[in-house]
Amino acid sequence: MSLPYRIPAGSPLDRGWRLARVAAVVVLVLALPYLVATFQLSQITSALILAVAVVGLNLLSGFAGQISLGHAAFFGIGAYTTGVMTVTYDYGAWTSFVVGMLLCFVVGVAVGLPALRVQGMYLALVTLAVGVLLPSLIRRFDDLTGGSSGLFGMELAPPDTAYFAGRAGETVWMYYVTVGALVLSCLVVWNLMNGRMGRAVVALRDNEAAAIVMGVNRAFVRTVVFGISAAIAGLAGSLFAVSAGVLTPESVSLLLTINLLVAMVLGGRASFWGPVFGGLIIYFVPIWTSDLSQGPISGVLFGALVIALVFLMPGGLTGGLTSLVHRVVVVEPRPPVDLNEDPVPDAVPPDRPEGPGEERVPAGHTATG
Amino acid sequence: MSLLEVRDMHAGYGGGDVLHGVDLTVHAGEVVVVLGANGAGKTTLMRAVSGMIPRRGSVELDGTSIVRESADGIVRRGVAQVPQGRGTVVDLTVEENLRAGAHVRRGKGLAEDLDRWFTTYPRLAERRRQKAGLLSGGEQQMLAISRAMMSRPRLLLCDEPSLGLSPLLTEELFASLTSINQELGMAILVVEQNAMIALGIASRGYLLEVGDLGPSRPADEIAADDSIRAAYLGA
Amino acid sequence: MDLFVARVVDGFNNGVIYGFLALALVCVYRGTGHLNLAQGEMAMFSAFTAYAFYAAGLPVVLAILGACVVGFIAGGVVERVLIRPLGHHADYSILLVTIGLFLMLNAGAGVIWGGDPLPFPAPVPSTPDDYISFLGTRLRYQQILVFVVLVVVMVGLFLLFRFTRLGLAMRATASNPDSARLMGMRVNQINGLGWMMAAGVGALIGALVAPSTTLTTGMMFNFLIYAAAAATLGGFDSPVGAVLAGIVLGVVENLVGSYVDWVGSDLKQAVALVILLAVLMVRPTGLFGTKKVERV
Repeated sequence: MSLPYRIPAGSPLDRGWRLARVAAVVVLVLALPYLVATFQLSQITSALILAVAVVGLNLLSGFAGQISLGHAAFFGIGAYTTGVMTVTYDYGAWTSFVVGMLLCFVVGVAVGLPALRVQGMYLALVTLAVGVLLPSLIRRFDDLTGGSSGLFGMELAPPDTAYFAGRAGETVWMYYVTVGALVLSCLVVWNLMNGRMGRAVVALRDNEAAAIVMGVNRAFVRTVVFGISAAIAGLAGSLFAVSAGVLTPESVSLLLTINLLVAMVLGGRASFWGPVFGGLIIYFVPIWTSDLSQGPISGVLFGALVIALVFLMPGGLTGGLTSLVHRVVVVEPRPPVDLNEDPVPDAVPPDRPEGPGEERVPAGHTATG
Repeated sequence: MSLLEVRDMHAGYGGGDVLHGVDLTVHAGEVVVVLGANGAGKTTLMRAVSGMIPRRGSVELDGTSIVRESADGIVRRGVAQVPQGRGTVVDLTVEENLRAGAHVRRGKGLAEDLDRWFTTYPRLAERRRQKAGLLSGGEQQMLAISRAMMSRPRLLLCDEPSLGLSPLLTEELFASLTSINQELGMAILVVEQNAMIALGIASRGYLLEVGDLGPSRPADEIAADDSIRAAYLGA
Repeated sequence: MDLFVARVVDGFNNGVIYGFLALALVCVYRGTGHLNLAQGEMAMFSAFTAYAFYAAGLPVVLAILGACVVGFIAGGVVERVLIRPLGHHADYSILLVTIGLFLMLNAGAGVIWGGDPLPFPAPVPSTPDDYISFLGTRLRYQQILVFVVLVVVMVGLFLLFRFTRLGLAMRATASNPDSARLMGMRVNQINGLGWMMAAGVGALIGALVAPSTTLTTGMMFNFLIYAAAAATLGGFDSPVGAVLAGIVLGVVENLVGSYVDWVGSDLKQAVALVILLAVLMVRPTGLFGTKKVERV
């Protein structure tokens, strides 16, 4: 048998292959709490929280093609909304999650407004400004936010069952909540990108003038995508607040934005699995590099790694994995001839069936493996 | 020996070749026209000759191969191009565009050349301190031609100069190309869709059909050919 | 009154640094049309290089010039090795590479020179008595020097862009690289030169402001953001605009921070950013930038 092995799309083998992948992920997710120590599970949870934020950034920057250097601000708004509401005003954590997301959506739409006028580098600067503003606002209103000394005591109490009891149980609970949030935000992005809105988003990114002529409401699409992207980042912030239990202005600084951006591109821009890989990389790689060597050398290694990956894996980790998998297995579109009917003329492209689990990624971008 | 000698040139944009083995000759001092419909590969031909896209085969200028030369190196060897859509630098003033056009020469004679083109196109002289982006289509085309001429080329390439111009302006423009050819002895290679007017100033012509270039024929013979009239001249 | 003047002067001195670094950003933008996020860290690293030369026994002025030369060359190497191979339209990749550089230089300076602030001598006398009285406030020699050098560099760049063949080529390349190639310009070399000039100017800034800010790995971090704001307000293609915008930002920021209680010192820097946002809403190409004009 010669590689790559070719599988026709829609065949039982193809469906099986898809099902196997989904099943593998589900099993892995459910098994993890039993496989790793509590401490490691909390690390994975932290990485997945970052992944949620990257999912939000990826919607804006990956799919819609708008650079943002300010996503730490949305993360921060979510985090501090939860912090202030639960600690200072005694609201429930879940309520604060919803309020934080709504607030982020509104702020996101507001930031999206200048994005209608400015593009590219100027948009990067506008968002950079927003990202730098937030920490100073937090310091200024320190009676509310605790300022530089921070905000403490956020938590998300687990349901009162034996399974989630004790410190270990709390960690498992937080892990499941985070996985749930990640799945939810992925589904939101997926639905968005596979519908009418998604086509509008891609059309605007690839050829704005043509998209407008086709009747895409540019202002609506751009601002709403900005808002949703911000709300997802805000959800990640809220999760961060309750999982870390402590918030300082430094935790939502420009460094976080940089990490999110690096995670997005390294994971694979405009792909659905990319953010998950990216979140894991950005959380664990600095830990490994600092294991390899002490002190600031780890920073040098991390920077070098970022540059190296840009050159070695331009499609991100998802792109790299996809091409690796494609050396072994290729799913081919179904041939255009249907046995029950007359042969279809060659000019008509084969229509791919829209089965469950079917992933469709905008042309020109890497599909997930 | 001919000025430009292209043999079996292939070129394209990565997704496959657009030109499949093109032969083309331009002698010193003559005007040659390449006619072709939309999508025949006219712009690709121009960009391949000027080195803006990768090409294979043989391209010689005065007997020296330039097939490996970079685009800026080809300009320095004396081939100037007026690209489609004019390619003026919109953020520079009219005069700065002309000075930039003379980039490959060292200072000598720059002032005289500026004078010459401002005399040829008085409308440019009136607007010499304005940003090129503010010029009308016709003025930009004049600017593009004089900018190309500022490098004192041996061969001038014009990519659809009539694009977007009114019939009157087109006529004016081709008249000035004729005088550039006659007064300066400049060799000019024009690709055009507007066949009638282009054949009027050329001595020889080629027909470009989806990436293939036939043999050249005298311009008046092409103009008199009924099948070509039907295809290109709309008559 | 005296206090007011002192506050203007303080803001002015900050603004000079913003404007200076903005000049470096403008040089890169002139070349490649990109924002180099690592510009501030390159300047910081160069300041440490100057310190190394000084510690090795060179006179201060020579140490600074030496760091400028090293920076100039290093800028070219970075462009050639890390930026040029990515191609002209790889915005994201270039942004990421500059982020990677940022992280490497920041951490690298810490590895080589440690995390503690180092004393860096000024090239002019700078004891507490070395100042000129001006409207009742003190202008220190050191601050005057930075300003004078800034003006010299700014005028130099202005003349270069406006009146020389090379400057014209740089402007043509930034505006329309394809047309520039068709005019026989070596676009890649010109881009490289932009990076070299930016890094050289950055080295000058780093070494000149190090005596006032003390030499630390974080010394340029905040400046970069305000420099980017200044370059934006000034319009990325105008050296004079960038410097003026930097100074205006510095002064306004300090006055608002001093006189508006609600703002105070915490939100002082936010003022610059709010100005930036407001201006971009009204004039997307900045206050002094040329509007891209195009008629078809």
